Amino acid sequence: MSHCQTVRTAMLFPSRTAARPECTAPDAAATRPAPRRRAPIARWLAAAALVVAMPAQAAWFVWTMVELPMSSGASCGNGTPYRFFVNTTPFSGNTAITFEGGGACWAQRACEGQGQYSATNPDGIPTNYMSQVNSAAGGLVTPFSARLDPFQGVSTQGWNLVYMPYCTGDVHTGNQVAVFSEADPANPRVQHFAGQANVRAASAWLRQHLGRPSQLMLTGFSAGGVAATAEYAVVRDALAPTGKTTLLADSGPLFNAPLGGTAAQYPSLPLQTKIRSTWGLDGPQGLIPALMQTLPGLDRNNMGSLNVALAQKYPNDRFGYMLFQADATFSGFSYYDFYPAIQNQPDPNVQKQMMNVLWRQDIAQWTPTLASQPNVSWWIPFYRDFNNSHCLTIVDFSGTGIEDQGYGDVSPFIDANLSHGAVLRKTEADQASDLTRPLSLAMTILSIVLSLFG
Amino acid sequence: MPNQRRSLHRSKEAIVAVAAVVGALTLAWRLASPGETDQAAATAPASVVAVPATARTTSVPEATTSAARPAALPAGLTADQWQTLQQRVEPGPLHDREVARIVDFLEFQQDVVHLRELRADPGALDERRALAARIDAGIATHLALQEISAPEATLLKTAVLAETEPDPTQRATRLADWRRQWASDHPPTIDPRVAEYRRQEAAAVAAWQSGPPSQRDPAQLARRLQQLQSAAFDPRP
Repeated sequence: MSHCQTVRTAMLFPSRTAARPECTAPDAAATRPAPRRRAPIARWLAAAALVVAMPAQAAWFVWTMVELPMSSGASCGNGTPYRFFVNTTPFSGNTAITFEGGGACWAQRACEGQGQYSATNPDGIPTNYMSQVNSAAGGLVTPFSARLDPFQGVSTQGWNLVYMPYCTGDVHTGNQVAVFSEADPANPRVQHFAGQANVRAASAWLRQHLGRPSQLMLTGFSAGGVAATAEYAVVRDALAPTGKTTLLADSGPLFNAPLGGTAAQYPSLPLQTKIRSTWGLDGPQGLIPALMQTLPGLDRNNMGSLNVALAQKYPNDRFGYMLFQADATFSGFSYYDFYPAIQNQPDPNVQKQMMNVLWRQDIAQWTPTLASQPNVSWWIPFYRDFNNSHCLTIVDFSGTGIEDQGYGDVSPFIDANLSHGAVLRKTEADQASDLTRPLSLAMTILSIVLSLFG
Repeated sequence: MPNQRRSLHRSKEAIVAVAAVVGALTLAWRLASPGETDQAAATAPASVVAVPATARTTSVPEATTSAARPAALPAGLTADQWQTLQQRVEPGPLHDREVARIVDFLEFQQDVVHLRELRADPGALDERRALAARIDAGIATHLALQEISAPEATLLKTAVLAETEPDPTQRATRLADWRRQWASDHPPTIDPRVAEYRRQEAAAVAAWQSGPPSQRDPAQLARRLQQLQSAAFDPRP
C-alpha cells in the first residue's frame, strides 16, 4: 500500500474489489485490447453486464435515469448509487456527453459540501435530479446539455445527450476511499472517490445500449472540464465512434506540473500532488497507470502532459480548451489551500489578484505545450462579469468573445472544433473592454435570481 | 388562492400520473419487444440484470414506404424524419400516442428555436409574445413528461418573462418565485435504502477505527464497505 498516505487525519486506501469477473459483454470486448490488462478489463466488462437501468420513462426525447450497480465500483462520494441521465433522439447517431462540474475536495468539510471551495452534491444524486432547479452550478444549464435552449443554439442539441452528474469530489477521476475526520472526529466522512469507476461503467452502458456513435463530443465545465480531458481516452475507447470526435473542455485545465519541479516553477504542482494521492490517481487501478497503458505520450510525472498525449494518440480528433484569464474560481481551487500567503491575505481582492498571477503563469506555460500539436485549439478571453469569470459555456455564450480579434463570442470556436474546421488559437489581449461589457438578458435575469434564490 | 393552488397541484399530479402510466406501458412494451435492441444488447449474457428499455440502434434506418404519413407533415418534421419516427417508435397499441407525444414535443422545440431566432428582430414583438405565451403554457407539461429538465425549464421561463414582463425587477422576482415553487413541489427524492446503509457504514467505520491504528487494514474496510453497498443497493439476483 505504498500509495496510501495520510492526508490531514484522513485514511486513504484503494477502492473496491473486482465485480463478478465471470460476467462479460462480448460486444464491448472488441474495444478492449492489451492482454496485460485482462483483470481490469474483465472487471469493467463485468460492470457493463451488471449495469442496472431504471428508466423513469423509456422513450425518445425524455431524460432517462440510469443507475449503475455498486458491484461495478460506481458510487457517489457518500456511498450511494451513481446515476446519470440520457436523452436520445431517433434522428441522430451522434452523442454529446457533458460532465458536470462543481468543485472538488480533499478534506472533510469540503467533501461535505461546506465552505467556499467544496464539492457539489455531497448527498448523492437523487433519482429526480434533472427535476431539480438548484442542481450543481446553480442549475445553470449548459447549451450542451440542453435539448431546448431559448438563448443559445448549438448543433449538439440535435444529438443524443448524456449528462454525467458530479457527486464524487474528484473531478470524475478518483479510485480510492477515504475516511476524513479532521474536522469532526466523532462523525467521520467516508468519501468514495469513485469517479473513474462511474465513467467506465457509464461508458460501458452507453456502448452496450446506444451502440457506437457516429460523431462524439465530450465536454464539461469546471471540474467537468477536467473530467472530459482526463477521461477522454476511457470514454472514446469504450464508445469507438465512427466519425468526428471532439473534446471541448471548459474551464478545467490540466496545467503542466511535473513532479520534481517546484511550486514557484509550476503553480499547480501542490494541487496536483495532493489530488494524486488523495484520489488514488497513481494507485494500482488508478487513472494514471491506466492511461499510461493506452497513451504512449503520457508522462506519468506530469498530468499536464495528458493534453499532448491525447492529441498524439488521436490525431484525427479535435481538442478544444477554453477558459477565462480572470477565472477566480478554478484558480481558487488550484491555489488557495496550497499557498499560505494567499490564505492569510485579509483583502479578498488582493487575494484574487495573487491567485490570478499564478493562474496566468500556469496559462503562459500551458499554451506553448498545446501549440505543439496540430489538432489542439484554445480560446482564452479575458473576463466575463458572471460567475467569477468561471466557465464560458454555462447559460449562454455571451461575454465569451475575443473582440480584439474580431470574434463576438465563442461560437466560431465551438463550431470549428465540432466540424473539424479551422484550428483557432485565440487569447484576448485587451484587458479592459470586457470589464464594461453588459451581460446578456438571460445572464442578467439569472444573476438577480441567483442572488435572491441561491 | 389555496384552492386554486390545490387544483393546480392536482392537475400536475394528474399529468405526472398519466406520464408515469404511459412510461410504464411503453417500458413494458419495449421489454416484451426486443426487436430493436442493438447487437451488444442482443448478445448480452443471461447475467444481465435488466435490459434497459432504451436499448436500440443509433443508426437511423432507411425510410420505407410503409410508414403512415398524415395528410400534412407535423410542424418541424421533414418527410424523412416523419418516416423515421414512424419506424423507430415500436409498433403496438401505444404507437400512435407515443408518436403524438413526440410530435408535440418537436413542435414545442420548434417554437423555442423560433423565439430564439426572432429575439434580434425588433419588428417581431407581437409574434415573440405569442410564442412566449405558447411556450409558457407548455413548460409544465413537458417538465412532467421529463422531456425537459428543470434547468432547461428555468431558461425557458426566463425567455418567456423576457417577452412578457417589461419590468426587470418583476421578471427576476417572478422567475425566483417560479423556481421556489417548483423546488418546493419537487424536492429531491429520498432513497429509502440510504438510511439503513448509513447505519451499517457508520458501524463498520466505528469498528474499524476502534482497533489500534497499526491493525487497521484500509483494504479490509474498503471491501466491507463495498459489500454493504452492494447488499443495500444492488438488486437481488
